[in-house]
Amino acid sequence: MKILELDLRAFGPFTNSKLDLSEGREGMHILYGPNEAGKSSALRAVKCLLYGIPKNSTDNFVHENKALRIGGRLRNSDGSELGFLRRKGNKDTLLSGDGEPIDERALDRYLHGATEEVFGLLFGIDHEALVRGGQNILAGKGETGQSLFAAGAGGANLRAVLEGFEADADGLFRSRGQNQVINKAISQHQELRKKISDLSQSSREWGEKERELRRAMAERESLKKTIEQQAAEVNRLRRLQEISPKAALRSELLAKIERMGKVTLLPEDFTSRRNQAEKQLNAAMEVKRQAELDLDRLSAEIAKIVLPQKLLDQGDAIEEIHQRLGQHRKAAEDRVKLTGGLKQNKADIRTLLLELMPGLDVEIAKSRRPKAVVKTRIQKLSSLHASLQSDQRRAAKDLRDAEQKLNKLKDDLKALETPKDSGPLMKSLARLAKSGDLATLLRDAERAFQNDTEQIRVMMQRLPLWSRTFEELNKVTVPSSETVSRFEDEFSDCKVFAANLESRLADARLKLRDVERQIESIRLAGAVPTEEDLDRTRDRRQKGWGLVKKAWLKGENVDEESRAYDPERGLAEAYEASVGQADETADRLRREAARVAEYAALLVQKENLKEEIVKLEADRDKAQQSIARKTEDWKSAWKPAGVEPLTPREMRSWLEQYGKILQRLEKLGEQKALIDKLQEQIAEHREELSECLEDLGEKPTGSDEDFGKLVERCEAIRDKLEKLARRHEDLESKISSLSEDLKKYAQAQADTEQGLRDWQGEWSEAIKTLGLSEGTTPDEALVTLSKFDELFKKIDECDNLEQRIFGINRDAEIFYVDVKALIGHVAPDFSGLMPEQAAAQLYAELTRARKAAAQHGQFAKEIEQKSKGLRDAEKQIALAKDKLNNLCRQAGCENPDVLESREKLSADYQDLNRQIQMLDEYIVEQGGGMTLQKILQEIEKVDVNALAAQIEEFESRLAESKDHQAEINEKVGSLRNEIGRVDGSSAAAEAAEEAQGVLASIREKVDEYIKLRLASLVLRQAIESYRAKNQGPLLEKAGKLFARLTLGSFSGLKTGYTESDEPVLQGLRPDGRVVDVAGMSDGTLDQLYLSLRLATLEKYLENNEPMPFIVDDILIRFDDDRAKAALEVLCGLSKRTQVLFFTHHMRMIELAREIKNENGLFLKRLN
Amino acid sequence: MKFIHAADIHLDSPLMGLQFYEGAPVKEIRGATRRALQNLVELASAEKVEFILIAGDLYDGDWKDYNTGLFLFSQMSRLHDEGIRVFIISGNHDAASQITKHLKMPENVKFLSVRNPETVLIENLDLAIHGQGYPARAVTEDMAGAYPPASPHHFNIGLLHTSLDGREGHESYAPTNVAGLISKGYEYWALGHVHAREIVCENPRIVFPGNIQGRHIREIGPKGCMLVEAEDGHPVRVEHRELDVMRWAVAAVDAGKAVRGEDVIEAASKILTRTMKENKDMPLAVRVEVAGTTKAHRELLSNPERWKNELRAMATDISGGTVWLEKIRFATRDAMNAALAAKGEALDELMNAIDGLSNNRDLVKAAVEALKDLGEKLPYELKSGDEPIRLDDPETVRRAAEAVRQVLMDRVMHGGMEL
Repeated sequence: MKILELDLRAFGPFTNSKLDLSEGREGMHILYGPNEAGKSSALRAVKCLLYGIPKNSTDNFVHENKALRIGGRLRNSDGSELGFLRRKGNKDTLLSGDGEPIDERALDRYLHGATEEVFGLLFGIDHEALVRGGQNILAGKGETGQSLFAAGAGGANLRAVLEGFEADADGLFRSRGQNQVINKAISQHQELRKKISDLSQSSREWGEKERELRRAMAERESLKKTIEQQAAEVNRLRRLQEISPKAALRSELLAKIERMGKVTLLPEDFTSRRNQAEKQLNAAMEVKRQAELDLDRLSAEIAKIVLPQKLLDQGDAIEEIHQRLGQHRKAAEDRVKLTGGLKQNKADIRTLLLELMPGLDVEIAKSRRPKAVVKTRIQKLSSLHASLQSDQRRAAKDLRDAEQKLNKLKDDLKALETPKDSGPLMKSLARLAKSGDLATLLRDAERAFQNDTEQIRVMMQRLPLWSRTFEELNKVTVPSSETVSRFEDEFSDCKVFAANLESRLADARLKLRDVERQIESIRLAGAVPTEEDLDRTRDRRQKGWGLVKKAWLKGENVDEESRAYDPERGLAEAYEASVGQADETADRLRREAARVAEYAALLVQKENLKEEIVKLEADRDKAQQSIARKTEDWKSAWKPAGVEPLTPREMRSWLEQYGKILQRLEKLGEQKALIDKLQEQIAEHREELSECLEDLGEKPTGSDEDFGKLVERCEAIRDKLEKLARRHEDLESKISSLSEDLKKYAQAQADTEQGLRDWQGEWSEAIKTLGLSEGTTPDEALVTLSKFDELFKKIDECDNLEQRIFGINRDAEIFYVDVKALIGHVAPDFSGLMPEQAAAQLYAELTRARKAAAQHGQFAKEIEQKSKGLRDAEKQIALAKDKLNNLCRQAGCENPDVLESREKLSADYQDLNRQIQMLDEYIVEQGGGMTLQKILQEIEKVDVNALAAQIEEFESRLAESKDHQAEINEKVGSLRNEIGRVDGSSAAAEAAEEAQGVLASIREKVDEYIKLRLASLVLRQAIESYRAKNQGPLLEKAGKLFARLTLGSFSGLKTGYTESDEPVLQGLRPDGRVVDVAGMSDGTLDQLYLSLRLATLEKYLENNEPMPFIVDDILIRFDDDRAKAALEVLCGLSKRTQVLFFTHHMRMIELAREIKNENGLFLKRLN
Repeated sequence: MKFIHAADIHLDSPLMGLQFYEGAPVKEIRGATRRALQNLVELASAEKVEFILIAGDLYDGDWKDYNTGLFLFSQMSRLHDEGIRVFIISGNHDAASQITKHLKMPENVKFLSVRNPETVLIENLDLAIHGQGYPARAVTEDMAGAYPPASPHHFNIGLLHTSLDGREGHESYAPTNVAGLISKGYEYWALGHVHAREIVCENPRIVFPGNIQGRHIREIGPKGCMLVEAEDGHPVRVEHRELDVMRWAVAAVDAGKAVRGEDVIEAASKILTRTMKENKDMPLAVRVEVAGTTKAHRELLSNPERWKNELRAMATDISGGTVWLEKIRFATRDAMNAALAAKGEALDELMNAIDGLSNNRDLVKAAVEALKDLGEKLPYELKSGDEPIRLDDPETVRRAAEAVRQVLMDRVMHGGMEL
């Protein structure tokens, strides 16, 4: 197949760019494109045309993906053609000329089964592949099979591939390995197998253990019974041992009872009952005796008492008289005192009457008693009068005081000046306060401004290369720091370059001197013959021989020429000498070949060095010029600023400093603006304040007054005005309030005077009713009134006393009558006595009679009591006797005296029985559930003395049994434990599952291993068989190509054998020497690989439809001659198939032009 | 009357062929046969069946762990508590099992005699169960032949562990044929031994219920037991009930339309999703077989390990970790029609050599020799069984040829010009 046309319609950088590749039979087309001209895109276009544009294509940087189009026209060797378009996409990417999709299979006919990959392997070669191919041959030590096969299969590193298979397979499995994947898995599987077996519980073992357990449990059961029996026996014997002494005691007690015979058993309370009955009897007897004695004594006493009955009957009347006697005596005493009082009273009344109402009798005076109403009124008016008088005084005083005060205030007010309006001033000051302390702000700003100005001035003085003012600073243009950096870099580059040249120059000069020295030393060792010398001597010899022949053979006269030939010697001599000289020169050249060569080399070297020095000097001068130019540029960059610049580095720091000053200047401007603003504000405020001052009649300010002072003055004025206004206001308010008070006081005074006038009327009226004169003062009236009271009190007392004396006299008369009547009735013998005396005597008699009557009654009562006690005692005696009789009957005896002995007998008997009963209880208690009867029988049976020994024996047997029991328990426990461990666990099953997992992974790795091992095997087989078949013809073809490509440095290739008898490629020198690949240079290896590739391709073309051979710049490591040879070889190939040679290098074009164009070599430029 | 017919419990036999990998549902497979048996017990209890028939193979023959027996015992005890009787005949595996010999079952469990056909009559159900267990591992005579004829007034069930007249993948034990079974006149033949479910005959019912839990890739699909309801002396309903806890499935992925490896993953993902849905999202062990003539062939085969991992990750991802890819097989063919391709003589030679794995006797011999060492080291489990690895078998070499071709093409054909 041949590509007739490549239409780069829209691909990579190309648009509608057509490449006509139809020329020539097949044709070798060199496609030249410098960098970026699209060589790589064109190269890719060939593959994309044939095999489609890949999804991730990068050739869409001009045309969008969907617009990408490559057109082409192909021709098969049978003459059939196909023209089509290729677009990018997933399907239907092959289009006919008019854009309709066509079947991809239409292309198959032209590709002849070469897949994209195979196409790249067999029909394409680039520089990288070439180098790789050569290096692979070297790496494979030139192993023939591998080298040939690699060249045939596109240059694979077969050695690496084979080693890779081995290594991968070895990583999976090695026969004696441990750490390989499969080895590891196998041992893991073995471990799991063991684990399964460890975890598996054997059924048989389990059965045995279970049977053993059952046996052990049965044994344990029977042992338990034995132990129980033994323990019971020990217990029984212990019990008997314990009980036997008590049983003996019991027998003794029983014998005692036997001996007591028949005994009447008395109840327990018998003795106490008997004692009680006896005690009762004795006590009753005693009571009876005492009662009889008392009765006799009382009867004698009572008979002695006599009672005056008449007196006793009138007891109450006598008592009453006796009481009235006391009252009667008291009244008599009172009458004396009352009579005295009456007399005194009457005398007082007379005195008072004389004073108050002279000439009036007491009785008349009584009717003149003043009425209570009048009295009250006078008192009330008196007190009213006092209060009115006090009011009157106070009102007068208040009035006076107020008037004085008012006058004083009015005077003060008059003295005070009238305040002016301070409002505008206050407002101005307030506004000023809002603006802040302008004066201070201004001062600070001005100070800062000055400071900064000074600093900037200093900075500018320090700024070198600058002599202007700082106003100019802002106006000039200086280069930017980027510009400076650029200059710095450029200077540095230039200088480095120059320095480099300088050092190279120095080196070259040194070398030159060295070479010259060497030449000199060779020359000093003797003249060195040169080829030129030889030519010269030979020419001379030839010339001599020509003259000789002329003279000798032709017989011509050659004297003239001979002289010219050698003016010194004759021709024969001269010719001989020239022959000798030529021979010697030739001999020396041969003999001193080394020196000659060295000398020649040194001469060449010297020339080269000289040339180099000249070139370097020129370069250096150029570099220095360039530096000078740069310097000029640099200076002119600073001209606008008027600065003569230093080095860029220094100027950079200058710029920094300059920048800082600019920044400071900017700040200074801001400060200035601030100052102006402050000053403006101050002026405004000054004007405002000044106006205010003028309005207030104060001194206006002048411009000479400091603003701060002005403000202070204004503030003082404001304060003063405010204070005055406050004082004025205060006085006015006080005067107004005092005037109000004055009015109130005058009113109060008038009210009081009216009250006094009203009182005088009422008073006159009141004292008239009392009979006092009009002019009587209230105090006088009050004294009179109290005397009236005293008089009438005395009068009332007199009346009362007379009344009481009359009553006392009447009561005394009645008492006498009553006493006489009583005496007459009760004790006529007292009738001769004074009534008072008789009454007292009678009462004394009555008292005595009453005492006697009371004693008589007492005795009678005692007698009654004693008689009753006597009767009770007799009853008790009878009862006690009955009880004793009963007890006797119970005890079976006649006489109570024997009761006591009977009681003792009964008690003894019962005590014995009780003891026996306690023993029985004890025995039964200790008997462990046996009946008493049974125990006593057991004791009967045993030999008490042997009991201890028996117990010991049984105990030791018991201990043995228990030891045995512990053993059995332990055994049961451990068996149960073991059986319990088999619990249906799935551990073994899980391990088995795990083992299956491992097997599955081994299975997979085995497949992998098989694949790798067989791949290695197959590849070796393929290589070997390929070698066997192709070694002869291929090596022959490749050898010829190799000879051409190496320009005859090698004459061909052959197969040699290593020590281990492996066939290897070797190069053959024209002289028959053999060179191993290890001895070949990199370039030669490239050529070797290229030879093999081309040979393979030629062989392929012998049997197959041709395919275009795509070559991408493979010759860049070839020198010109070899490159030319390679181009010629490729031209040769193009007779059989189309060759598309892509290159970046113009040199290839030049070389190609030198080749005879008989094979059809066509140059194409990409654009 | 309701009863369950199950067989081939193979308690504690492990699931096979599941290679562990990151994300594989390891927990889901653990104790699968045990859990399936628990499911059986629960089903019996829930359905209140009268009895359960187990037609042989409780255990795996060479499995020795007595724990397995105890677990079975615990499950039978549960049935005992529920009042459900169990009738078992021992199968070939049980005959070989040590556990069978030593384990005593609770009284609801009845093992039928291994010496003679035994008939159990259950009068309250009008039921007669006939059966005989395996006295030894291999029973080669027709056991059913000796079974008694049907009892006239009973519902007759025959319990038999047999391969019938031969079933693929199962050893031929107690061979018999359908006609022979029919001739006994029983109403229901409860068979065991064959792990695939099969209703061999509708009238009378001759049924293999299959095993209760699939254990490897040749036991795919739902596994369980038969729930049988009988009225008036005839089975009226025989339905399969699933008991398995992890199911086996094959996912055939057609890579025909795939262009790149990712396309294959996507196609596989769809198929897996469908398979999961079909199995109601229960844990699955799936064999993925990627086939078809595809452009992605080279990509898949050049790094099969990578694509296997991608498939596994995808499966884990879409299933939430319940799907285990048992094995992934790439059986694709190259869409590039490699056979027609011109390859130059060197590559042709390589292809010839690969083909030599099938037909070059010397090469095959050399190949077998190269694998010998590994063959000797492999565990016997891998060298035996249903899918034995035979490294000394030329067939193994032949089968590997395609993989060898791919790896060679991948590694050798690198060095061409990158256009």
